[in-house]
Amino acid sequence: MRTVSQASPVTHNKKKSVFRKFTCFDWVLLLCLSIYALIILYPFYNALLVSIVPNTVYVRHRGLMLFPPEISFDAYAYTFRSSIIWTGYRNTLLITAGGVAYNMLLTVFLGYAFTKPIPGSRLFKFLIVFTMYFSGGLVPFYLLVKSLRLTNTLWAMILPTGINVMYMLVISSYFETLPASLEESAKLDGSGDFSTLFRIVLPLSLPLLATFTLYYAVDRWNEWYYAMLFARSTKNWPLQYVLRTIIQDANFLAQNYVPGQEAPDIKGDAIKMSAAIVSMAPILCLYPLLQKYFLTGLTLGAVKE
Amino acid sequence: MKRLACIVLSLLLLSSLVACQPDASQTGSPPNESSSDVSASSDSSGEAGAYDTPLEISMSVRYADQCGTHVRNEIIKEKFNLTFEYVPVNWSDWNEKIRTWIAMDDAPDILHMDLKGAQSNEFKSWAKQGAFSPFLEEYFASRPNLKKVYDESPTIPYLKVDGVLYGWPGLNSYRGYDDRVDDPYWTYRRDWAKAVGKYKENDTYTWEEWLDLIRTVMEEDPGNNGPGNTAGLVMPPWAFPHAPVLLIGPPATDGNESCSYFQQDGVYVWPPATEEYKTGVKITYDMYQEGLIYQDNILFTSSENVDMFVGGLAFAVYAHFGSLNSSSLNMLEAGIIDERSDIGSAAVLAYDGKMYLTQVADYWGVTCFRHDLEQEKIDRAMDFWEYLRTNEGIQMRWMGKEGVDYRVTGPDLYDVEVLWEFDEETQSYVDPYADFKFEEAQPAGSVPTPAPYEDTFRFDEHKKIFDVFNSGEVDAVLKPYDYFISFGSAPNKDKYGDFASIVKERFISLLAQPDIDVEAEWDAFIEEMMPQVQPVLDEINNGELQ
Amino acid sequence: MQVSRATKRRRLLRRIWANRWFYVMLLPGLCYFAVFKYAPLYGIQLAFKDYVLAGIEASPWNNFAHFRYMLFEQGFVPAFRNTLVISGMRILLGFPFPILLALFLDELVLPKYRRTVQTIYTFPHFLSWVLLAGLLQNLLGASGMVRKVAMLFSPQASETWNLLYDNDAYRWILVFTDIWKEAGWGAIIYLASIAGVDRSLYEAATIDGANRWQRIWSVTLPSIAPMIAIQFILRVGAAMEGGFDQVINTYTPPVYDKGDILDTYIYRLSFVRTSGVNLGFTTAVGLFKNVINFILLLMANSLTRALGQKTIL
Repeated sequence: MRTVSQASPVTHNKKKSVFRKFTCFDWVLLLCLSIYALIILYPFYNALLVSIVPNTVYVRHRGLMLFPPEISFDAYAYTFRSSIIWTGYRNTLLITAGGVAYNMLLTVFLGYAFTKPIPGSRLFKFLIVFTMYFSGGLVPFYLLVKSLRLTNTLWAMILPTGINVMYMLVISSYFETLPASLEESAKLDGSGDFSTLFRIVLPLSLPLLATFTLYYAVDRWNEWYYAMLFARSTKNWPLQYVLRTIIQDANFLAQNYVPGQEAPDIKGDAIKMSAAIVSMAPILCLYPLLQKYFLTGLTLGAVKE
Repeated sequence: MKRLACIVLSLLLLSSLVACQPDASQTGSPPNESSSDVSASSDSSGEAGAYDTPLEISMSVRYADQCGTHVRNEIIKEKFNLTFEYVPVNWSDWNEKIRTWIAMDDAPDILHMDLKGAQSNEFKSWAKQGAFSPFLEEYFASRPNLKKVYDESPTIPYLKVDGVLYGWPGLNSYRGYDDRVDDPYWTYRRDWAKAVGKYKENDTYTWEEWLDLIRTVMEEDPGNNGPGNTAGLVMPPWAFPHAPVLLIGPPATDGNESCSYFQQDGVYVWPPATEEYKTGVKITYDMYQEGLIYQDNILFTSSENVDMFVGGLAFAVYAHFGSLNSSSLNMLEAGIIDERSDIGSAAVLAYDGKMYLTQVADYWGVTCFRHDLEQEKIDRAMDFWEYLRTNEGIQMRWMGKEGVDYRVTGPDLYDVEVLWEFDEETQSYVDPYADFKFEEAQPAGSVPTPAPYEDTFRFDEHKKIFDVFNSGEVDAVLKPYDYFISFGSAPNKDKYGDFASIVKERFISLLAQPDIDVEAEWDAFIEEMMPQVQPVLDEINNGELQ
Repeated sequence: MQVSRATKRRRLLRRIWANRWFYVMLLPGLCYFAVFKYAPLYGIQLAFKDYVLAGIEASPWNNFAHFRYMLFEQGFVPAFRNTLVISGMRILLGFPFPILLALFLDELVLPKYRRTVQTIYTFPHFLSWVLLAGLLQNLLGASGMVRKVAMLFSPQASETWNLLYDNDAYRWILVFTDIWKEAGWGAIIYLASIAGVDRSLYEAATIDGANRWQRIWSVTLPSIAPMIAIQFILRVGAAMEGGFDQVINTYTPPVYDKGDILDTYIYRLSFVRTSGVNLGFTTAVGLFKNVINFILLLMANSLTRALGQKTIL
């Protein structure tokens, strides 16, 4: 029987022996990667601090702040004061779950079919790559969505997303690198094309599928543009559009002069940073679930058997 | 493993199909369908009391999530049998949404937009193409309060296209003494001025005194921020770098919509090409290089100016008076100041010894009816706005329900007794409806301020500027708002406007370069620009503006 | 002749029938493209028209006015040049970085630690440039940390500190902050490709006596080469996108000389300088940029083909 099992990337034994085996190369690697992690982490940590330190304290410590001198959750209270942030969460979860399933299904089917030398596939591929670069623009697109009666529904934020051509091309090229012998022997066993795809090809492509599930999920999670165009009620706003409203409006009022209109008391950067943290926390939970697929390798066992 | 993948994939798909279904069925039909099934043949023509059919009007509003739940909405429902569907817009995508809706013929019943005079050519072209339903003269016959606006507002003629009015200006409320003057000005640390011994009575400073004060404060650091950490002047991005000299100086100004192109000896000129402007650039450059203007102000994108001031890091901020209330309270709370009067507004005379104030348009926000809107809805909305301009309507907008929130004690607008809780600290009443918005009232204009319940700190500081201005002790000059230039439309002007952003870009670029002959650079810039500017000036001076 | 044509057709039909299930797989995707991409394609004519409310068909042709406006305004040429230069820098420096990161991460022997740092690397991807602009100001501005550190070493050098509006530094800041933000995220795709490499190849290499550099060079890199090739083609095909979000949020007038890209130039042209923008103008700009992108894509495609790698077309 064929077995596809997961295995650790490189040898991993008990912890003690790992360090004993460390070569100079390993130490340098560890050091470089750790320093890079710190460079990433500090500004990020700074953003976190900004969101929990009162604004008057924060401006006085802008240059360098390692510990919060004073903690306040006012910014989070402000961000959550409106009910639309909760409906926003709900909408975003629906859009992400539905959107990713829809995106992945279309992408995988198309990507797999393109690996086959079927008549017309080159033409289709060209036509699809063509759409990456040539589009009709906003007017006909808006009219299309309107005529499909998707305006002011969550579908307007799901259906038009369809396939990301780049992702599809990458997945397709990955399928092509899989050993053809696997599919052929499956065919000899009487397996149909669909079941070959689901039982042989997809399990072998788990790292890539996990990656693009993540990429699609983040794309859908960050959706705001279609909401801006098509959501005619705050009930249908996804999370990112709610937060974008908070962040962008503050900037707009500072950069554009509006006579007679008072700028709202926006409590500075704290609100913006808290909004960012509120929006990224849930999607980061998805991360460890998918991470194990692209961080550990596969062993193609008994292929030649 | 493969089975798991299949199950997960199909589960995801299934869940999405199920989950999205209710939303689709709830709102599946396009929004304008609901509005078209109300028959237009109803004969109510504006007289109060004839509101038998309930109406729902869709309208573009900001803060849509905070609208519709106010006690005022109950009153409106009762009185006019009228409710609203709120179609949300935000500051940052407002124009984009309006433009898209109009272009796709998918606009809500009532469009409220942030229309500035300089952008009015697009509005006029829409009106010409039939995007809006007109405001006919007969609408005003039975509505005296709106009629007054129609007759008196200087904006009205400029919102007409071929003699027909297509947009309704929401009038700003000014307080009599201020003569439609814009409200941003310098808010400064009065306590620091006192600490360095350079405080002036009435907060009035000559130009030299002002510069000297900034310098001294930065050197002596009365706020104990540490050497080099006290900023002099900070300002919002829209006012940078014009605020310190050009916005409060002789009438050579841009960066503020009201002062593009002004008349000099009967001929319109381009402000940056004038001597006053060049002088202003030179003074600003010197101030910036000396550090009196905060150097990172170039990088500001948001509320950094107010943040720095409230954090006690800046001496003076150019800001709306509206922010004074919250700023002073935040600073008290953080222990930056001891009492509210430690900050206040400074009346700064320009470098030529005169005091200048800038007028703005009398309105903010323009309202339009969709071109196929039913007459019944138009009438109902107009009645609603007419009511909002009566004393009763204004009191209702201020406070809410009579008998619950306030009591009327006399015939005058301000003859009311507020029934809310009183806050000793700010000496004002606590507004229980502070988190609700009543955006559907915007077309009727702003309510007069201060409301009887309001914290008057900011208004008192605001008024002080005008007391100085009107005292007769200073050489006071009012920079007028030019409707003709602002709204006027001609091919080149529509294309380039007043070149304000190019001027601003070059101005900022020059500031950032130390040790240059800024006046020579400015002359070179003007020479480079004139071939483009001259056609616009010609249009204006030859009467080609429409 | 006729017979052979008929057999050809029959053979073709037979091939199609044999692959019928693959056509079924193609169908949903093709439907998506037909409905959402090809149905609205007629709107492309707006690039040559002035849009009026009566609709696309009724809009008058304008004799390339949008293109003339875009191309002949002062500022177009530098913006075009900056876009290409900045994109080139991003490709030269920013493209290999995630690959290196993925290779190094794969070599790290501590699985838990590896997982942690890999997660950390992706964090900045979730912060938008609007927010990062504020953080950059905190770090690199006049009162920022970097200047304070620099003052310790050379007080006079930092006196005229203007890193964020220094023309010479700006492009480098763009490139490196972009790497900082996106490299960890971009590395995921390469990590996944490496994870897909058959582990028995490594074992075979180890038995042959290859050290770790040699293993990276002779096993890992060749295995992920197709992925690198395709990413390269796609990256080059997006060269006209100079990173609008990043630039618009971080640039200031003093750095327009070196930092103003096509997108920001168009943005200022249509939103700041003039009042109101015709919907056709946006279409024209998109068309102009994408024609160039498409040409670049085709060039990159033939280049990779010449190098013996898999291509996308």
